[in-house]
Amino acid sequence: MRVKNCLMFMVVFAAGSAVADARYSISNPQQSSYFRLEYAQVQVDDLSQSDLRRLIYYADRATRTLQNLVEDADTRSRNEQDKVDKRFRESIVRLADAGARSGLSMDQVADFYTEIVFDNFGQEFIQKAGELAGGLDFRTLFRNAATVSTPAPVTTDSGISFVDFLAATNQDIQRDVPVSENNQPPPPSQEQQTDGPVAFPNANAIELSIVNRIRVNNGRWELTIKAGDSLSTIASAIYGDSQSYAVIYDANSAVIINPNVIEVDTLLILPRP
Amino acid sequence: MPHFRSLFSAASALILLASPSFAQDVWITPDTPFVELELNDEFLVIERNPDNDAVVPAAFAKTSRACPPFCIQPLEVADGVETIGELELIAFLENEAQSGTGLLIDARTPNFFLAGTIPGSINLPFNLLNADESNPFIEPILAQLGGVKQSNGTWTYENAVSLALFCNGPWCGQSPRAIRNLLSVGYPADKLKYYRGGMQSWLMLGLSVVVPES
Repeated sequence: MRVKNCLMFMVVFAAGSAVADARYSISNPQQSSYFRLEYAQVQVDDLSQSDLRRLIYYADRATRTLQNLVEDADTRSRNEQDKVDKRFRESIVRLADAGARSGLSMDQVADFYTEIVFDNFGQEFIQKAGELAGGLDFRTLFRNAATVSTPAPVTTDSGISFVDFLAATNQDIQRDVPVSENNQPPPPSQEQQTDGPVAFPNANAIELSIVNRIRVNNGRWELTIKAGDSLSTIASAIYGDSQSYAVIYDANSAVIINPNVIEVDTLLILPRP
Repeated sequence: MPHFRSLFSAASALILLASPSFAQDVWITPDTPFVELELNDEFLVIERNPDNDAVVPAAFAKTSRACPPFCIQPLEVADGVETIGELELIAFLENEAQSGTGLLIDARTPNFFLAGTIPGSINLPFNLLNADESNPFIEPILAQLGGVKQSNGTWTYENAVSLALFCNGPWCGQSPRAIRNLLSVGYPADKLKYYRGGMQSWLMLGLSVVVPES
């Protein structure tokens, strides 16, 4: 591959993997990952190189975000703390997703992650994190990350910290989340998405009926066109402004040629307001 | 975008935790929260800084560098060379770069590159593309890009890779100079793209930056 050959020049550098905002150095992520995956009972030979690289990337990120959370926790403002919390949760969800895409169970992802955290930061760090959170249970954390049956306990502006988050997930897992014998995450239930469409205030009956037909599919809002629908009415219903039809038009340029003419049964993706 | 994978991929058993605040609140487009790439045996993610309070880094906040040399570049830098924005650049990485038919070129001098660059880029400083006899690198570089030197000394580029070039910003002349140098040795204009916004636009949008391992 020519891309590789270019690297032969001394003067030509390829962009490496170090992340610009990385404050911490994680020791030998590539070399030690095999052992950590084996510890987590993962058949490493069954994973593709792509799977491995993705897992290591997101595990590394989730490790940094946890370290960020635990260190300096006392000195941060509420707003800063919310951001660090959010970054951590998001990194856990991404790592859970990377694990699911590689065929790992959530418990395997959690054990893999636990090993990384332990190897890099040691028992003292884990104890400190656990004391802050009233018990640190990575398996619980990842089981929660892989299911929608537990509503998200925090939002960025709720004023609830990482500590509360972990405590809440620990309680939720005991109350709600079924865990099958092989520790696979339960099948996702899309009905329980709480981020479903809401009509714009003052919507009329037609607009309300449109909003009620919107389906949430893997996080996206989708609407199948019926006779009588128009982009401007849909825009009114969800954005409160018929002129915002262009937003819908832009997002569906692959299926709409003329915004005044939409075929019945066309499936539109509606950008969230 | 054939290589695009997101949390919402149908194959994934994972659904986001229910609150939208769990997702990336700062997406690339309404349908693209982030983009994953595999380039050069490396896993890369292009996403935007999720911090709603983030601002442009100080190094790229200056408005008034001396011109000359730091002068405003035209939208069209040369006949036939397409000028692109961020989405087209990301699509170039997903398609041409991932398939090995294109390279994203950071045309700045290495000191800039090593301070931070666009994920997936390769550093080919503009001054190494000078087509004069004092530059010993130009011929091996053209050969690596897929050019073939003819017996009469000219070059042909039937199998050469497409290049998307960028530098520090719309006031930066390094990538336009690199493009003109390439054109002067016959590199086809339709295999060249110019990302005029450069690092400044990239950073202004909070897009991912990597620090290369030197």
